[in-house]
Amino acid sequence: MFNTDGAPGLTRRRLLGVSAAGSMALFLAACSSAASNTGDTGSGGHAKTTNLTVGTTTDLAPSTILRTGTNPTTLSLIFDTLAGVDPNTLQPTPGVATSWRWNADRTELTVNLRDDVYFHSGRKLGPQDAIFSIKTEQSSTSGAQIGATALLIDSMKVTGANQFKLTLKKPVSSFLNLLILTPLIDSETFSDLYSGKKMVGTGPYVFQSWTPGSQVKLTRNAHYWQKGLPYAESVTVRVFGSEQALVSAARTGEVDVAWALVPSDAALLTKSGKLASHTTGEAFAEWYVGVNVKSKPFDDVLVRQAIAHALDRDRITKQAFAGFGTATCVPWSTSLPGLSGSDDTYYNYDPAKAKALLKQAGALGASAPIAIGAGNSVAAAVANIVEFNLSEAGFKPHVSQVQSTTYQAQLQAASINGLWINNVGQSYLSPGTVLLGNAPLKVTGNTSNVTDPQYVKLADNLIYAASDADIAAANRALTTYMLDQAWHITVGRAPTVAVTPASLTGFQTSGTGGVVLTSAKLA
Amino acid sequence: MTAVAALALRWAVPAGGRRGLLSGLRTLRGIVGVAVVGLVLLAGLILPLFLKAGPLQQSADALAPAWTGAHLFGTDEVGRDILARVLAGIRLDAVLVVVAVPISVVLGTALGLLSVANPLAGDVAQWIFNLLLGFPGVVMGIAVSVAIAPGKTAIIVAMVLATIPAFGRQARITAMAELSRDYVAAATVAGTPRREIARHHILPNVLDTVIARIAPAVSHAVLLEGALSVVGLGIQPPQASLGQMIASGSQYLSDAPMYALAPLVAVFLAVMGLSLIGDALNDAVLRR
Amino acid sequence: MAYAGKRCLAALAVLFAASIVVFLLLHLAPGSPATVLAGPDASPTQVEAVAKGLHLDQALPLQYWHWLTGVVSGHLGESYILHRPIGSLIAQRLGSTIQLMVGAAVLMCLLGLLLGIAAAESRRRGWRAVVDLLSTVALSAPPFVSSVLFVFLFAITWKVLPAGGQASFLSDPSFSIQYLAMPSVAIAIPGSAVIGRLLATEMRRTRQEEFVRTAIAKGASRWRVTVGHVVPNSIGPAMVEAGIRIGEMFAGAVVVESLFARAGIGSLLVDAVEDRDYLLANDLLLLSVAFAIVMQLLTELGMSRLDRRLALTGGPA
Repeated sequence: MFNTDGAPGLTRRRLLGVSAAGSMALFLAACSSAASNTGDTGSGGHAKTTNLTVGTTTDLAPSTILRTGTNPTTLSLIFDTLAGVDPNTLQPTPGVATSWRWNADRTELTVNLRDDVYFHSGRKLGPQDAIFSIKTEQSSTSGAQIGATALLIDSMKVTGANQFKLTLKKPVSSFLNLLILTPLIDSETFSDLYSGKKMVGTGPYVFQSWTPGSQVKLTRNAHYWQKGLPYAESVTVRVFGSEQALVSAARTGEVDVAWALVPSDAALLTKSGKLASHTTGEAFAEWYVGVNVKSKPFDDVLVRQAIAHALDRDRITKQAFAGFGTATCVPWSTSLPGLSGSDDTYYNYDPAKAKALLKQAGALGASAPIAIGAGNSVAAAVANIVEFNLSEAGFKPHVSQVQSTTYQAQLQAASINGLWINNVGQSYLSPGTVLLGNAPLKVTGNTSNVTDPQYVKLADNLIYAASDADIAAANRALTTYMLDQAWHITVGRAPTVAVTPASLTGFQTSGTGGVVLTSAKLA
Repeated sequence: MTAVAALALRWAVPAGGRRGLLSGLRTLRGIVGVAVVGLVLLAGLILPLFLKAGPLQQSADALAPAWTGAHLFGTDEVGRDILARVLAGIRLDAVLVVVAVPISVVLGTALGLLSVANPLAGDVAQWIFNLLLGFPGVVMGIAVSVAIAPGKTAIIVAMVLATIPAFGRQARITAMAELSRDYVAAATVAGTPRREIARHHILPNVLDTVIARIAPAVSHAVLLEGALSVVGLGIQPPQASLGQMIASGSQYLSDAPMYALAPLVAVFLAVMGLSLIGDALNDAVLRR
Repeated sequence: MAYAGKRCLAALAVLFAASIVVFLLLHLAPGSPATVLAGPDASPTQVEAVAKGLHLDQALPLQYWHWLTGVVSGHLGESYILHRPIGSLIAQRLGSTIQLMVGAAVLMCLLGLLLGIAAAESRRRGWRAVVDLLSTVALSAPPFVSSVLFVFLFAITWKVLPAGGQASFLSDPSFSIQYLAMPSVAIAIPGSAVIGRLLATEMRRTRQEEFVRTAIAKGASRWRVTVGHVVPNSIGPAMVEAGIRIGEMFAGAVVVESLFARAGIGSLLVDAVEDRDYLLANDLLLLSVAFAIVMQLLTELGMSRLDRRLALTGGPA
């Protein structure tokens, strides 16, 4: 049967080849297919809510757990903040802190806590723990933006079994945001917090383990202070290496919550109706074009106003945010006291007017470098449209993507030449918080290099406004100034978008724009 | 310089010389290789003249399907014409290579020859080559891109560093092989100055073998650009490069496959053509 | 032996030089781990404070010394960004990369062997042309090109393999192989073509040798001659190339891990470099360079032994 010397026919080599191929085929067919998971099967068929899976493309980052906006998928699962927030009034709502009271001149805040809150380690939460949490935010290693507000505290004192008092030198209008943004951390395990070895909070789920780059495992807190909650027995937060992988997982039901999807992907996913989209609503990110007033010709306010008029905010909202968001000209919510909806449309899309302003300033054809951080597809989408708009208006724009850490370093040093596009979180809560803590708008040392004493005055008026009337007036004055000076040109508000199966009920988002699964369950 | 020495030199010139190298291109491989590379380059240079949309021009028509409508290959996620961008990518890669490879040839050959001329320099040069070779291409590219901001300059530097060892080693090997040949010994004995020997014999032969390595070096460079872009440290958008389009396009494979497939085919054709050329020239050198 | 010793010393010297280059390169880049840790809203003074806490304000040579002595003594320290021991970070993700590289290495050698034998043994011009074409195509398909093509064909169009991810080989072998299939083939392909060519060239040369003609004259079957005599004596240059290619596989792994969303040390390196996680990035860069240098050294030593053995048996010079 086996020929020698290469005559045609069934040579041994050929037989070996065929049998090798055959056995490979059998082997592959016998294995269950990992690829069968990638069919379009819709929701994943859970019988009871034993486990909820959250999918995200960013891994847990315990070293920045106190920095608002990071760790959105795990923060509100493990930790409680002192208070929640009402999405309509943007005022704090009772949570672990049951009530709070200002004194007459708003320099002393007395906060009462619940009596039945326990850390996951079993230890009872007391006012000293609240004070510890606030103190931790004050240090620069925490990276907490609310830290700037916390640093204004003159003294912190325990004044009762479940009460503490914070004293300020002068009233701070946004101070109550401290209650909304401070996670309650455990002093006993604090040394292991930033490494992710032990993350002990008082929240609905208990941290079990973290496999870096892979997943975080949490189990139900049986002693949670909201009785009967949470419903799910456990939560797994899975890290996906790419947006595309997360999108496939959402499609096949591998994840119950697909978090922080690129808006256009979310729009595609929810077309069929089997999946529903959720946004973080009022906890939005404010997208803006930042202007370094030290770079010419952007030191001229006419040039900056030209930019403000050139931007097609509606197209940006429709294309870059896939419709999930609102076009606006104001960095913070216009439902705040003193502001109105007409502020949202202060600048209309008018390339002709922009060109005229530019001509008036004698800067037609000026070069406009636009920097964005690399790897952010929404920023890239916004930048593309902005570039187009600016060239319509007579600028010579040029977009450059800067590697992320280099970009951060430049933002910190306020050394970006010309324009940049970025987003700010937490501005919805109150201008005061961002004026104190956020680099683009900080009163001193902001990324735009604005040192105008007028700005300092208006900002200080707002930060330290005492009465409600003062706050409203200060909001108004500052907002008008920001709009006219146009060195922080708001493009729109974009919330974070999540996609869940339509059968998931009780999905919520926190005041800081994070995942809340306290009352979540699969129907 | 005596008549004998002059005769010895003339007698030693290998038949064919530079002509022989180019004749390698007249084989089937050489012709196909040149044709393919030429086609890709020509497309990049000439086709854009027939297109309406430029590579940076965006439109509201994002991820438009290919083969229908105004865009032959469809559009990307911000409405830019994919065909225009692929052609721009070809041009960009060509520019990068045209800058990087000659630098690398000159530096590599110089180092290689220097290493033969001087034994100490030889050790240092070997050392440098081993160091550069120890950094796998992409790894070196990553380190360079972060040190110098990611972009054209970083890629050119990475390309140069990655291809110098190949040229350097080739130059050194050829030079050493030539030096041990009989005619060199004969010429030396006859009193020919070293510089003449170098110029008339060592150098041309070294150049031949080095030139034969240009094609593989070019494809190596093209692939390095692609790999770097996939990792996100190559050419940054909105500039179009083939590698960067493959990387971005791979996210939209199910919705707009041409986004990734078009640049993929371009890279594949370019590299295949170049390796065919490289093979043809290499065969020609060997046959000599 | 003296040769081996000399090559080892040379390799160490190169490794040492590489460590300096690695250290300097990352420090040249703007930003530092303090940039990332302090956050986008930090002022330059705040960033400096964080940097000071991490001892990043020490003189560069001193930092280099601390790092190098740490590596050599096995105390790798902690990642600045992740606050975790570097040793355990690497150990956790090394498995995935090793899976990938072992799979790719095995495939590359097998495919190379097949291609080489097929090229050398095909009698008919048609077959030879086909094998030649295949090998040219394979040469022109670097990992990032073939990866994308595979994903398009096998994951999206025909839906037989998963588009990305990984599974532990020990707990889930059949799944993990499916996740490995495309990435390891993608890495293996170009190397296998080169190996195949080298093998084929060498095999054709060996066929002309005395001892092969003797074996044929003695009546040995073509198969036995090929497998028993020709291949073993032709494997030298191919093995050298295989060694070098395996040394460079880490580079392929970096790209492929990114495309297939695998959590290996390739992607750990890219993240560490992007976040300027100095210690972690330096360790990983040094690891990849060390691996390449060790493979080069092994192939050089192997090559020299092979040369001597061949010289003794009178085989091809």
